[in-house]
Amino acid sequence: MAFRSRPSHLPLENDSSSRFLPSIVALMVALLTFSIVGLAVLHDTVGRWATQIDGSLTIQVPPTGLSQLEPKQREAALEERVQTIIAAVSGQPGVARIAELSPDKMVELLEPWLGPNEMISDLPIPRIIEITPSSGFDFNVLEATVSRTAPEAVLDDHRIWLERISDVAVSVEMALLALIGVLFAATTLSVFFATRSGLSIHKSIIELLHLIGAPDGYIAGQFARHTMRLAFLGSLIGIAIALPVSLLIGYLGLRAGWQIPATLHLPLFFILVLIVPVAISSVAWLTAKRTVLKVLRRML
Amino acid sequence: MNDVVSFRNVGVRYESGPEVLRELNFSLTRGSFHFLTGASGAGKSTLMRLLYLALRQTRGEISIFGRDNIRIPRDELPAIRRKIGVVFQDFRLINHLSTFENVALPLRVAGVEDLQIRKNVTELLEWVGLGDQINAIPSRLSGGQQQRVAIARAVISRPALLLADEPTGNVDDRIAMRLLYLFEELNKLGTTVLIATHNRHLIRRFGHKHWLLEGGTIHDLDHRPQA
Ligand SMILES: Nc1ncnc2c1ncn2[C@@H]1O[C@H](COP(=O)(O)OP(=O)(O)O)[C@@H](O)[C@H]1O
Ligand SMILES: [Mg+2]
Repeated sequence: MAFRSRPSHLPLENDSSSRFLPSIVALMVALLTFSIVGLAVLHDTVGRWATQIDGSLTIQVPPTGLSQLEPKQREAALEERVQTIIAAVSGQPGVARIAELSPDKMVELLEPWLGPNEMISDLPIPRIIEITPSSGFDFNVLEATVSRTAPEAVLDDHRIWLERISDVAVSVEMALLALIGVLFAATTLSVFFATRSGLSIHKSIIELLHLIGAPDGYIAGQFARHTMRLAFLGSLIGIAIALPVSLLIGYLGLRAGWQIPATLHLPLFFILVLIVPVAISSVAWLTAKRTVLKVLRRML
Repeated sequence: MNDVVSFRNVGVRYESGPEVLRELNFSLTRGSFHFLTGASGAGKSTLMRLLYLALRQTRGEISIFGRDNIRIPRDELPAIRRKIGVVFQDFRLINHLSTFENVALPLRVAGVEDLQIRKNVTELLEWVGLGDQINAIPSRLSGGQQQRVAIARAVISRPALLLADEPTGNVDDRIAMRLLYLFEELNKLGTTVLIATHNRHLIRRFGHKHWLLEGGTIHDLDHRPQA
């Protein structure tokens, strides 16, 4: 009796192992999704900090100890301090540009507080040096140089704080990325073992199908398809659990004044979330197929 | 040649044990009907295993449907197995499938259409007296009912060779007779039948050829009573 048409699909879904695999996959995928959402939020926050850091930083040169001098002399002394700092810092690696904020610009900045031009020019206001860092810039070196050449100058330390926090955040981000990797490996492994133990239950049906003349490829294909569907179902359940919870947390966060992470708008994020079920289903499919073929090869 | 199966000097041993079967020389001609008896442990199931291609002889030659069993390429075995219907001694029903699906398996594997499957399986289940158990799962059935499911599955695809390993062990004589009639019907349509059984009453009642498996080999009792 030859194949008259394509063999039909076997009803494999009613056995007990059919609940085991989706549960495990759902749990792992939920964890995985949480981590991905967490990573997206963190990555975005770190990115926001980084843009603040990437901008220029400033050195304030106050007229400390010069208040007794005449305005003209005072300004000259101040100018000398500024030039000393510029000379010392500009040789340092990672300094793309260093310049004093022009007096006009200063006046412009201060006008709303201090009134028109003529008055300001007589006041003992600090000078501001602006530095645009490039790669290789080292804040600690700058700090040392400045305190050596002009102890009274003030480096804006907002940046230090940001930099340290952002270092920590980057480490956390790396850890989270590693966690996602580990979770993914664990998911793959549990799909692998769940599929294999499921198939040991199925050994009798595999053997029977073999004896009634089902080709190896057909039997393996049936089980692979069945297992893939279970894994996909499990993934969807996992995402269905994790996403609303993440959204809820996000919503509560928004009400508490957070910003929506830009990463969540990226197609990349959704691709990542979608890749999970696809990848896991593929692992399940491949594992089932290979395991069944291996079992069959041992039969005559 | 008209032999569905022929054995020449066949012997079988499991691992390094003694020869369970030896010096087997016989053939089953197309359309023949044989009973096979023998004490428990005589090797009836082993002989069946050789015939449904689940075991290879350790010596001798076996030809099945005109092919040397050892030389058949692996990818051609399924097509040959589909021509053989087997009632296993331990039934081998699939526990999470209904009676209907168990019987339908060989048809599904052979790619028969759903409509045809539904019609044939339902009809056959009626015939073996399980019309009201179509959706039951095997573990809910009695031993005799399970055996009839196993028989229905073996005959559903009208095999060219039907092998039954003690197929009437768990049913009363009335049902055993009915099952034997089923085998005879198939036999009339051209199926070659070999039945291992202990039921001497059946052997006498149906009067087909009778082989005895003893000392690892077949003795032709050729019991042909008042036909
Ligand atoms: N898988 C096996 N491994 C080793 N010995 C076996 C195996 N199957 C059967 N035997 C031995 O082969 C002999 C014949 O067994 P079997 O063919 O089952 O006999 P029967 O079906 O006539 O009762 C017995 O001695 C049995 O112990
Ligand atoms: Mg036996």
